[in-house]
Amino acid sequence: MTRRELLIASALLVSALTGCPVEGGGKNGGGGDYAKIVGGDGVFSPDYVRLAEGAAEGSFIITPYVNDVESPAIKSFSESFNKKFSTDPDAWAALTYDAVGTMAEAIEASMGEGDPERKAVRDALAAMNNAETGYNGVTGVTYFDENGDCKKPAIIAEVKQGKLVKAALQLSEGKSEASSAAVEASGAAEGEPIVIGVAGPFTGQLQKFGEMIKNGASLKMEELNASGGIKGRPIQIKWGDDEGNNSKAANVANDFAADPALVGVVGHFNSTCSLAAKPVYKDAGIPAISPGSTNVKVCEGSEFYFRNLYRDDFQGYIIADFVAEKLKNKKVVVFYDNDDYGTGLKNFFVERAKAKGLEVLETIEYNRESTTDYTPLVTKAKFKLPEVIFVAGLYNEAALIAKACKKAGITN
Amino acid sequence: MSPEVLKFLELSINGLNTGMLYGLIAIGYTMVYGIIQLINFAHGEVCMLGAMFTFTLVGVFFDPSAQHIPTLAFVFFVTLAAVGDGAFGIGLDAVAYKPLRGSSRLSALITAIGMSLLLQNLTVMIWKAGAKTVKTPEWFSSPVFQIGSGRLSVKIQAFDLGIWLITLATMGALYYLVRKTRFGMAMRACAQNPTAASLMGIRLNRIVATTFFIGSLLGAIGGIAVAIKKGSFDYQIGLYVGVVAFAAAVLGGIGSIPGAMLGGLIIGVAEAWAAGYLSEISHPFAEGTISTGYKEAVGFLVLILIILLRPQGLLGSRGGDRA
Repeated sequence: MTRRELLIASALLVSALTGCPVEGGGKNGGGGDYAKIVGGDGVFSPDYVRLAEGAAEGSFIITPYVNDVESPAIKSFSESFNKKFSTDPDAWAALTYDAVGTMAEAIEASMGEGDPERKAVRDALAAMNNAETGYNGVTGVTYFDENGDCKKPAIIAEVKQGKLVKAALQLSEGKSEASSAAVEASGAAEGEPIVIGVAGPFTGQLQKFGEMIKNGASLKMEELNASGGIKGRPIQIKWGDDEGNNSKAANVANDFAADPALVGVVGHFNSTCSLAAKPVYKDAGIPAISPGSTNVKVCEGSEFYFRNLYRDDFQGYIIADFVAEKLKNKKVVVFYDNDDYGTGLKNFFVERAKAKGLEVLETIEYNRESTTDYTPLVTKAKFKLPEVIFVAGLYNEAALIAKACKKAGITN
Repeated sequence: MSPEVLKFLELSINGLNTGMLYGLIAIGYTMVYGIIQLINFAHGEVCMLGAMFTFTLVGVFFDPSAQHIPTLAFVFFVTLAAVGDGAFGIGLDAVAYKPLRGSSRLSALITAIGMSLLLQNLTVMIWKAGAKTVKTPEWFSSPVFQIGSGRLSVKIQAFDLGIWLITLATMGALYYLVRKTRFGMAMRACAQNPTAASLMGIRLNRIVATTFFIGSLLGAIGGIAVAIKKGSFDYQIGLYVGVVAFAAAVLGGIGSIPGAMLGGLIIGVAEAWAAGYLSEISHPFAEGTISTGYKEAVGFLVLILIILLRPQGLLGSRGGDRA
């Protein structure tokens, strides 16, 4: 900026302060269209909509599950969830519900006459390696490749009148109809309980995710126990609170490993936590299924770590394809959280976006723990004139970014 | 007007706004330090509690689905929360710091850190950890001035203007209080020499309690405004904001009230400019450009540079550490 421009700027600031007229109403005066917000699956939470206070309307969010009541299996799950917790399940509740189910099925398959063994449970999970042997739940069929990763379709959701619904624009055809496998009622389970651990951010900033995970897991546990448990023995859950923090996650993992009765773990949720807990489970030989970690490295190098959803490379590619093919926009500004999840997702999105001919104008990093003001970051985005704002982060910060974007006039 | 100029203006205005809030919070640190040489590390949590009190008051009287609340109710709630928080500050001093008045400065400092952790955890117990929003009157976000036109226009909102007015009024009132009243004279006397001041019949504990009241009251206003500006807040908001405000107090010269505000403004603007321009500088050691993730570090970098050149801070006095 030249000296002259600086002078003009300060003169204008003064004139603004002494009262210069405000023009026009809420219309976006000729500078192009409003931008759209697109979020990674970390944004998929009813709390995104609540915290953004209206600024979330029209956002597109990728998710492994949407509460689409047209499918009978989802409808019955959603109804019993709603009856118990008086709220709709989100993707994380559904994935945890299925992960507990998968774990129970593997334990049952591995069990002989005696107690279940960790190693045998792992082998039973690894044997679920195709759609036939996989676990059929509300999020589709869960089956694992040799790495422990899982292939599941991604759905594009949209915020419409304050609700997260399936968007009219969909990319992939790959719909997997969950069959409503009727649960055989064979009397309540009795006898020595079988213990599994469920880990997630039950307190701390990501508590909302933790709540959904807890609800999903306890619903599945109750349903299983009401229908005879595992070979007549009830399931008992040991909760482990990792607060979404990697060092606490390692503590939780050590705690689980030290419990001889514990045969398997459902968790952890954050990629950072999964990466920290993975070596502990490998050493202790405990099989774990993550219902939320999408970073590509999560299952790498451990035959004991599984997940029941897609990875960030898949997710990032799908989002870039969606922007290019369905939204037909070119200019993108990316906001990303500087943890394992946000950075990884951003990199895959940018890689695919470039291949698809999109123009990534700017990637803006933030830190969800210390960034207290998103306004200057949004100002930076605004002057790049984006058509799409992609947020690779979690719902809380996405809501703040959405709010600031609306305030700055980037979105409507 | 060229987009570059508009961008510079928007960043600067926003930086000034944030800086004023840092300044309001920094005053709490600097006033307490000026009198009892205590760095009250729990001050950030006191600010956070101001926002929590407001959140609770709004929650008691209004439906959670309401997006906005009436102006009168908002002013009433903020006043109540700020005064309540001021009283809380007095209580904090009485419980945690007063018993240690005679002991070493280090014990008081460690107590302050302990109080900070205690208050955060109590807040989680009472209010839970999730993010909360402070509801505001609807006109808060309506633009008052607009520079330029179209999509890139820079709008100054009523809320921003409100921050400026409150900051100006606060600085004026504090100047009057400290320089023109008998109470202010007593405060300055205690800051110069507490023993001599109490021998002259000034009741030191009353002066300290009032200082805590004023500092916490301003902190509450700052905390509420930070929460509104950010868009949501939780129990951890005091942690980072408190550290930055403390840096602002040191930068301006700890013990000096105008210094605290000046320090706040400098850090606020430095952060905003960093957010806007950092990624246009290429990285010295790696490929690509410097990430905006370093935005928060820039404020502290400025602090280090200034402290190297002027150890007493911008407006601090050189002679010893008494203001």
